[in-house]
Amino acid sequence: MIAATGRFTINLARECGAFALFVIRSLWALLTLRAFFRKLARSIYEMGVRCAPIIFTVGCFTGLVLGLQGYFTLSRLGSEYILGSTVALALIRELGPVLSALMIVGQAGSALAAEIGIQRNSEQIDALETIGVNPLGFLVGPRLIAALIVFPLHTAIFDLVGIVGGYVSGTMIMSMDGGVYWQSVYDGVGRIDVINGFKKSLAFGFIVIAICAFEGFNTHRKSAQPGARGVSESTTRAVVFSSIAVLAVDFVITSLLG
Amino acid sequence: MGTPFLEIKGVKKAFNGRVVLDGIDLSVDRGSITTIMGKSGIGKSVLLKCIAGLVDYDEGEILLDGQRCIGAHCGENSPRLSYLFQQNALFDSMTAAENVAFPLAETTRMRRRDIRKRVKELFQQLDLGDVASKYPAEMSGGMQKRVALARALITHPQLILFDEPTTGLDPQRKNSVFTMVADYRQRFDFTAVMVSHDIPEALFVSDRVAWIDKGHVRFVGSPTDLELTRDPELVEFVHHRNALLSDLAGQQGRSALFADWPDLRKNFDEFILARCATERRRPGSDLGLKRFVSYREAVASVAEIARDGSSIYFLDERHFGFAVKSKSDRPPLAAVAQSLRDLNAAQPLTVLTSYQWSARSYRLNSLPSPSALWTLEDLPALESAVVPSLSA
Repeated sequence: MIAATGRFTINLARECGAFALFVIRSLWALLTLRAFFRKLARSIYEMGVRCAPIIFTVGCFTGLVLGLQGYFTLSRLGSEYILGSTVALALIRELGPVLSALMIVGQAGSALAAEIGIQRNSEQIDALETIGVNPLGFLVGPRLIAALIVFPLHTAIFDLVGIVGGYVSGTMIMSMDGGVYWQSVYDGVGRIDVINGFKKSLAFGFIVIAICAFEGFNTHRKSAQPGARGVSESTTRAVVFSSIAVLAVDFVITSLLG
Repeated sequence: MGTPFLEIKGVKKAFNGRVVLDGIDLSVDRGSITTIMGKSGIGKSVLLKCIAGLVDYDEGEILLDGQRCIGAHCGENSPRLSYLFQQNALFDSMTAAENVAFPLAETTRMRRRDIRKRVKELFQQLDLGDVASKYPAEMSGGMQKRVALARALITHPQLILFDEPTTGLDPQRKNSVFTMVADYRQRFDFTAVMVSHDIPEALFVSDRVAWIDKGHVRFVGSPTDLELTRDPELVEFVHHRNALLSDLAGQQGRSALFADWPDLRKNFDEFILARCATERRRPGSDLGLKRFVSYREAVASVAEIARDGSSIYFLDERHFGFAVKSKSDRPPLAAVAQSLRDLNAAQPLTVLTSYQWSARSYRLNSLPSPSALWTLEDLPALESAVVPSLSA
């Protein structure tokens, strides 16, 4: 038991060290990367544009459900007039950053891990090295930077669509007045809430893409079986670890920022 | 003799305590093709990756043109190296032209227009014009190999490492890949180190062969030296494929010819070579059924005449022969020619099924090595070795 705990701790420390080095090297490699902005634009497109529909859809339904549930709960207390601020604060402070991050994990993160894993298996990463291109800079660096742009944007879209969804369910399905809803949003949401929400999304974006890229990049090292099974394992690990990381980091940031 | 272009000195590599390379010593001359052979899983590809800098070795030293630092990261003055991967490693999200342009676009400051021009020139040189806009998934295995080689050549490398370049290709394409390697080596002037299992095809294009076993280089020498080796394990490995083909034909194989060559030269004067003239010889290609039947008939018709000579040696699917003494009662070449003439006459004269046989005699002590028997056509300088040219 003690030996197993020791081994686990050593392995965990080793993995954390390898992960930290991976991130540092990926960012460092950006300094020598050719055509950085072209690669950044492509990464933003792959991560941002492709994920936008799912962010929009999930944001919409989350807002609709929040509006309905909020209305039912608040109307029992006779406080349905604060539905707007309830929905907006829940979305801006928690649900927007967390759910949009989880959606991007499912869509772009898994795709990233699988893509890099396949490139590892098919020796494309080795080919980059022999050509003289740093694979970390080429494959990972631009995506890390893109995540810092895309995640806050997606969070903003999610928040906005969710608040509109809350408005739709509160005023069109239930009988709340629209003006009251928007006034409540205006009164309840402060600038600090929005800023803290974006801080979370920045942290989530960076950590999610770093974990997914790390798992894909190390497919050959960490998977018990090579080939398709190895890519499948690394993709699963990427999704699970980054989802857990989102929730854990959310807790840490919330406890620090209040 | 000058300094070797590539020097591998005492290189050791272990994975999780399992020793794969246990002190590899090998030197490669500039402009040569060196083939590394050995059983599966003994570390041939690992050695190649150590040379390329993809795997860090534990001990030893690898010098390329006298420099320790190998690879693109070592600066512009370091020797340029390219690697042709087993599965080609083409970037699947890029077209063939983009793949080939990639090394220049990412590692040089050349203008896009100049890169496009250079890629276009290379595509024309390598006859790859049709596939420029195709993605790897849309190309055949052989075509992918050629595009991968084009990508390897675009930076004018001084050393190209080939990791089992014929994996997954049919026999015909295998031959074309080896021909391509030999041809491009002359045209583009690079040194090649190749890992291959393909015997005898790889031997045709190699200048030197290294055999790795149990982490060491067990044999290094010319392909002829390899054919003549007496090392039982090496003999088994090298002659395995030839043995399969010669067993099918019921004859001694080409390898046996190499092994018996000193005795043949001592005990006999001439070598009578029967040759089928239907198609151009393709070394190592598999026997087609009809060609095989024709071959068996030809051997059967000649076997009686060869009684006073040596065994009949199977050279490839179109050549076989045996050694004779000059002073025999009946001129054997004339007898063989007559026998084959009868065989030819019995065959229907259609392009697809007709196998026209002829025979020639060569003076044994004029032939530098057994391989001259099937390279005579390709080596005009050896024409003088042909003694009486008595075509059937």
